[in-house]
Amino acid sequence: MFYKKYLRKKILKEAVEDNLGIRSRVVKQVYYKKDRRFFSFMLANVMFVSSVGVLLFFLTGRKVSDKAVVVKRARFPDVVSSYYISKPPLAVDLFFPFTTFAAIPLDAKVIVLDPGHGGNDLGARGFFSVVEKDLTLDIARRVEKIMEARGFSVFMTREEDRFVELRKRSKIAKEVDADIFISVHANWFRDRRVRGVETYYVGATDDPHLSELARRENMGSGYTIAEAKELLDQIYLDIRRNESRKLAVSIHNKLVSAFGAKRFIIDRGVRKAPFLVLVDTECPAVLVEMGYISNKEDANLFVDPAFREKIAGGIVEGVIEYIRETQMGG
Amino acid sequence: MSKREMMQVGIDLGTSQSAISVSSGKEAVVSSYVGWAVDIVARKALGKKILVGDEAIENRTMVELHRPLERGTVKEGSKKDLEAVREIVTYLLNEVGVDPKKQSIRGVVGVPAEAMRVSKVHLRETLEGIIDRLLVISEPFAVAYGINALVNSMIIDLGAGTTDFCLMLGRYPTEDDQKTIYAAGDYIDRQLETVLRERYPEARFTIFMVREWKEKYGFVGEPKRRVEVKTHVSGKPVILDITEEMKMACESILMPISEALHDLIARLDPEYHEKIRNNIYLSGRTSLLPGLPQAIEAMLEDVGGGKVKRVDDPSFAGVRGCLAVAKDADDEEWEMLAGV
Repeated sequence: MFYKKYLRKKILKEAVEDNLGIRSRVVKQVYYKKDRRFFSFMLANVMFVSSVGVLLFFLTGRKVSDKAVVVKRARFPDVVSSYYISKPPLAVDLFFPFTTFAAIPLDAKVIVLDPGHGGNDLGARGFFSVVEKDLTLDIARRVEKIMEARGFSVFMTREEDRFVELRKRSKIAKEVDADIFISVHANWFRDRRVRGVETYYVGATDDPHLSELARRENMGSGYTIAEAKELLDQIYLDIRRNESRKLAVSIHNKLVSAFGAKRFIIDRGVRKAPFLVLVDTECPAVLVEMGYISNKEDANLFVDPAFREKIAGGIVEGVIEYIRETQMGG
Repeated sequence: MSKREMMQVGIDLGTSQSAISVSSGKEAVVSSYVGWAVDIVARKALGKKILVGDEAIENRTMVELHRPLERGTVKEGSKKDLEAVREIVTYLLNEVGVDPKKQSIRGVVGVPAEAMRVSKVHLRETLEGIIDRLLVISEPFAVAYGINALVNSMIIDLGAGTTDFCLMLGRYPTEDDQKTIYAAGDYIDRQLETVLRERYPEARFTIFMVREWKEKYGFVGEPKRRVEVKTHVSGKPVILDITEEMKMACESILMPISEALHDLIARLDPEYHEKIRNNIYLSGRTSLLPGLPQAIEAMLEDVGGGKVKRVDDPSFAGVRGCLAVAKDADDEEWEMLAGV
């Protein structure tokens, strides 16, 4: 009797804590938005001061003028005063470090996960009754869980089995000011021997197989031909594509290395293809094709929850690696 | 200003029906539909602007009908649906004589097992201003808490929008202990509607009629009697024998249930398998289908057998569990939830 009472009490307490966890997530997001505003303000300040410093550097040689020090002191009195007194700084020492990613860590905190397909759009259907829409949702949820535990704010373009237009998926990323967008998919090919993991960033391709894959994944996009063309024209010139490529490489490497070389999955490399869901986002965006469910061995791997967890872990590690490299100015 | 009386409330917001149970002992249930009069004529004919529950369904030609609780959680993005949820909760509170203005409400709301955090957050925002302090728990957990099946058991809560599975292992269930599938009451309705339209293309019926037929005559296993329903073909009333179609539609949920059940059990260490299999409880309105517990027991035979029981009063088991949680929570815990 006492044990039952104790158990009820214990479980109830856990339920309350679970609810408090939900609250902290909301609070975290609110604070994060404030952080972003603060960050933008600081960045603007630093850029202004940097410009003045660099200008002085070119105008007056390597010595910084007294005026510049005054400006700097006024802005950051507590941080820099003792440094200035003991060692007259060079203009580059003073200002340039503040403009590197290492000095101003450009954290990627808001991640949008996009489980492919959903609702009436089943995606691919493979061996062992594996359906792409279920698989993508399962893995995205696992990624979400790991990422939240690592302190990221994670948003999902769908959290249940429902159809969401591609257009709306990228709109969600824009609405939440996403830092990174990851679309999760499983592949299918008529030749059932084909297997392996591929990671995509947006770009033109002349590979007919990739064109077919893009066509399949782009179905139900909600874009008109003219809109799609305009978007594609923009993206191929966009600097964001380079960031997307870096992100794709990081995620792909971590995914492949998560399985101990090529014992379990085949590395089919980082590729580019015109996936519309990646085009209309405003942040680095990649699409992970986690394996071919048309291949018996790959499909069999996906049936195992431990494998799905490993895939999720690999994606998270890849994102962290990308952020680390970005912060190092890589 | 006088201090408001405190009231504990359990609420089950379901796709098809929503229920409330309050500490005063009163209970109420309502179909999860809200209708707004389409124009001034309809408003005058109906005598009010907003209809809730069966009244809204019956007068659906005169109202803009909303079923706001898609799969047991608030549909996102629709202002009207958010308003509809508030209307349903306000209606239920009114039915049991609770006035949010005069009473301080501590509410526990049950949601599907896998409702994601954002959905829960959404629910909180929706109920702001009606419920003072809110705790959101999973529906099958609420059932387990209500019937005190907290250790080595599995709850299968069969609602309209979702079937929720929950392993109870002496702790608050984690996401890994739970699973939600969409093979539930609505799924049966859609199956039945599809097969009837194929079989009787001339017959006139609505999804509401199909739902009613299922609730009256649905079964799993061998039929006790023929299922005959009245409808119209080319304007003439006819009686259709839909026994086979009914059996097929109702049994369409068995395979997904079997897969989910085995999947959850397989996650556990083998020594727990038998204990869990012998402690399976069915709740929710869809669990009322005659023959369902026996059919699930039959599916367990391949893996060593098991016992499946339907809880008493399955339609209210969840909401009563929610109320039990509300009653057991200490002031201190409600205080913690005050800002949620």
